[in-house]
Amino acid sequence: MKLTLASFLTLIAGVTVLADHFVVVPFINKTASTFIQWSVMLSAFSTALGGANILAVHTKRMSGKSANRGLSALLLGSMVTWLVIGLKLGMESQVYKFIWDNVYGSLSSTLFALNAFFVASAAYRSFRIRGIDTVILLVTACTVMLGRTGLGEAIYPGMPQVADWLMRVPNTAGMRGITIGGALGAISVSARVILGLERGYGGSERGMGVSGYDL
Amino acid sequence: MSRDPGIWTAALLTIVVWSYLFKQNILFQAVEHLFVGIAAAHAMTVAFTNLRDTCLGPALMGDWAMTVPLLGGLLLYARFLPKISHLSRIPLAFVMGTAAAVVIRGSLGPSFIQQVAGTIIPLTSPDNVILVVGTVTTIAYFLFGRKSRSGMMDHAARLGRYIMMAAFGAAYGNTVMMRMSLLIPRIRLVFGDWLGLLP
Amino acid sequence: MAAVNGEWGYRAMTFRRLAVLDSRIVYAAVFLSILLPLWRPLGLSISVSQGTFDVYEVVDSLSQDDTVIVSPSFAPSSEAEVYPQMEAILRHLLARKARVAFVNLNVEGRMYAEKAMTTLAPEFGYNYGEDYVILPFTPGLETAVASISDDFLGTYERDAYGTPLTETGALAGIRSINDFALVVDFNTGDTTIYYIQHAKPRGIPVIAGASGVTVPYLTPYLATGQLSGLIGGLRGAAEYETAIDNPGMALAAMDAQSLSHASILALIGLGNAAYFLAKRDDARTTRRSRQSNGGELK
Repeated sequence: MKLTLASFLTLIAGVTVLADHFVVVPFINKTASTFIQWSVMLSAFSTALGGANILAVHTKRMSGKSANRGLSALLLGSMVTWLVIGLKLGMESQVYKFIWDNVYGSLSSTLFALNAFFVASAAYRSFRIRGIDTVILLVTACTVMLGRTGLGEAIYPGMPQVADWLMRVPNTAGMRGITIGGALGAISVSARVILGLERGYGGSERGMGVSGYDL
Repeated sequence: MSRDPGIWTAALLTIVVWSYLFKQNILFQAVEHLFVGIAAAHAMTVAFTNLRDTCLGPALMGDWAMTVPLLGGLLLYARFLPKISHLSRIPLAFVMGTAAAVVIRGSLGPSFIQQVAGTIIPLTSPDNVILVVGTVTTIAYFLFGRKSRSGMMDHAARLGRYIMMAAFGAAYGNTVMMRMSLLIPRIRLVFGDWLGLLP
Repeated sequence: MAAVNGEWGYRAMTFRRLAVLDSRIVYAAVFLSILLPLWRPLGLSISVSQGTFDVYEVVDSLSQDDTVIVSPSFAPSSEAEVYPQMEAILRHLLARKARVAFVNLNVEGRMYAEKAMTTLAPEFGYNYGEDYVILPFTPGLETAVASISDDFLGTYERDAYGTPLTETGALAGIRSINDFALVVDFNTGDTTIYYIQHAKPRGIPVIAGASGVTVPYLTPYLATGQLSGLIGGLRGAAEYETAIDNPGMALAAMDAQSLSHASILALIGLGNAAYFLAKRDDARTTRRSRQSNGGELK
């Protein structure tokens, strides 16, 4: 394991924030709080970075000979226009709220609502009873679907209770196993990150040392 | 029929998105790109506003502690300059270290220890038996599901798989519920608010 | 024999065709299952579950001395499910005269806080700054929740409009997260788990309104009492509207929800029936072909 500047920073930040959880030492507690707040601010920079990435990709696509240049122009046009409105007039302005409600909100919910059709199509084509596993899957899925509607209640008044029991007992048992396994996995990966053994997030196999600089 | 320009805009965009169900078409692609552009612009607007109020403003007012995240944040953008792109990894490393420690702090007690403790319950009712056996066998499936080919652990892993199937079935039922819930207001918008055909 | 083979072969082909029905017919079936009950409501009633009553009890125990964190952690992609939950619980919170601080963990949160309070604030006589406050977007998800739980005033010095928090009466007396009486998170992701992991250990009860997809992942925390209450999906919103006696958009959508679920169940049944009948007829055709060819399959 090679100690580089980046892995040193990861180690310092990680150990300080972790130590804060277990010890009451004002200096460590204050430093950890400051580190967490800095991290939150850096996350704000990275939120904007996502937008900057989109700008860079589509500007490049527009300057090339791509067949989708027009679409990229539309994307950039809408992006820049709304960004200017947001920064100039503010998010509380009428224009911003109009676009939010009727364009962004509408498109976002309709695009995700398309999944309703695809779920139906997949249920029809792929949800096949092929063994005991799929029987269990099908029976619980159908009971939960019926139990969460008035129709299920009209067919059998105890249906919501049956669906609640399925959620409360077998579902909790399965999900608890997954939660415990997931927590163990998250803890081990995080420990590896802090110790510098996991540096894939740096963008290369070697971790932080890309473009000739071993940071 | 509605006279509200907002409803007209929303309804027409909804219909364009639905057109994808028949065939991929240029209008759908156009609104898809429009959506990405607007979503990115909104995220940037919110992030800029946030940074102006919480970081840039205080830094300009002389709060030196804010210059550290400000400098780090600017370094993130070094990735666009090939010669110094490696510098963007410095703030990233700091964020990853903090985030990893936060994940350990959060997972250790509430998601691991307390969940294990929640499974140590008296086996006095069928529900408790299912909870305990289900949790243990689900973990057994992850730990021994692939390695074991015979014996008790194999049976436990198989039972764990059945419990997980029940959990996934419940998750599937809830997913269907969510997807359908999303579609209902869209249909109400087009046929009710826009066309005025619904009561 | 050839005629019989042909007949069975034809039936198998019909079932096979049914098994691979044009997607657009499936789409139309789903579409109609929602449109028809919206056009002619069935009037199916729903009962209020114990889980919803538990949430109701937690909110009902609040008083005007309490300040509550409300976190709209959802996006337009799940607005249809989660926003009605938020509106119903907010109505109850405002009726209890609790002060509200909106914490926004995603970029859309502030817009939903403003949208809800534009309608509800005048109705309940709430004034911005005095009775409720909207805090700025806090990025970083889990790190953000850790920051809020660790040092609330260090994370927020100003509200979403740049006003110093010291000038807002709604948060007078709040020094740390321990001073809040409750966290109510409305989520489509893991935000409720982050509140359970970082705010709950400091003694603040957490309740959640969740989209259907996230409900199964939250039940282990509900069982251990780490989550004090949970309402899930459109049904949860409809139940809460019933509990506070204020029928709204969720309750109005429940008939469409019923028939759309029925259509999915019918599609699963039809798909399986077609699959098994095609498989059975295929087997019969093969067997008869074998018999007519003296045991050899051609």
